[in-house]
Amino acid sequence: MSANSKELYVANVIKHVKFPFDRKEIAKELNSHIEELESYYLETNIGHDEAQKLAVDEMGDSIEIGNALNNVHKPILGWLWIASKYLFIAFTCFSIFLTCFRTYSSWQGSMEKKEPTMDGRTILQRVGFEELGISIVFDKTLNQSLKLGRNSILFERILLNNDGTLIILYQDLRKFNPFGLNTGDYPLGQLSTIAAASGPEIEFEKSDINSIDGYKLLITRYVGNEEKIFHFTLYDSLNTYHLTFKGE
Amino acid sequence: MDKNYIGGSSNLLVLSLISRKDMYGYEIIKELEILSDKSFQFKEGTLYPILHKFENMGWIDSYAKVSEIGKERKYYRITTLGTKQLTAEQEKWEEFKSSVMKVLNGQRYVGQF
Repeated sequence: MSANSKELYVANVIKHVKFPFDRKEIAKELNSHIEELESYYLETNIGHDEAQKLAVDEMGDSIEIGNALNNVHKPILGWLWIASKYLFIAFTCFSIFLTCFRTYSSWQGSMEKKEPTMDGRTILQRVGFEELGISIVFDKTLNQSLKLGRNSILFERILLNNDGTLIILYQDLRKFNPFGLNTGDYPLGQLSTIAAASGPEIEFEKSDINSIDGYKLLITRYVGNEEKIFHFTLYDSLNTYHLTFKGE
Repeated sequence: MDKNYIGGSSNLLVLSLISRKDMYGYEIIKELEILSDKSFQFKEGTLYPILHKFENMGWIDSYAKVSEIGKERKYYRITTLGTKQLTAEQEKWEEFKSSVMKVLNGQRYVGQF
């Protein structure tokens, strides 16, 4: 390798560039420029070594150019750029993973049909009705679902008590949503009123206990249960839904 | 021409060339030589700090392209920001030129005397 060789020249330039990740690219670009010059000089019928010497001379002082390149390839900015790039990639991957995982698990959770194993007395106990001397008139497994837009509510069980209170155990069945937009609970609570066919509109009562045996809980009052057919109209802010339970 | 003259106008010259078509380093130098009838000749390696500065400023960006003879070259192309910068450089140059001309023509501002 002669003293004027292009490899040496390029190495002398890039050694002034303190940011290591840019060196290879700069070397490639300078090298390609020298090669263009070299082939230009070779066409003038001079020797290979002479052509290379002229080409390298044409490039200019390696220290001057090296320092000028170093000034525009600042190590701190370069490092910051690399760090932020990797942080961004890591953060994006993590967010995607988290969203998918959460959406999938909540969907899977909502699709699992839970069997109500608890007997009626225990439910009364948990709600605190037993202490008030309230007893069950009837306890029926419904397994009846109501479609609400894309989703549905599965009404699993209905308990009617001798004081006219009605306990409904229900479950949200959500469609799988890959974008994770539907993360909240199904808004049965947003169904503002429930109206019995033979009675006045009743407000939903909020229960202190949110769930029993994996089921959500709705406690309301029902008037006129002679025929043991419960016909409800449910309203939310947009729609009206109809639901009929047969008691016996 | 003295290479110091180029320093001040290198932004304008290089941006203007790249704005016409995407070019690689060697091509820019040769184009400068031809268009200026070899008035602008400088050490060719000094072009790269300029190009890389432009890239940092977001005035140009680069991409690799393989030529017909199988050589990979780094091409530069002007960005929207670069086009705006070019207009600004042109205005600066016009202002500079007219200031120089005023001095050379020896015209005084006639007004309050």
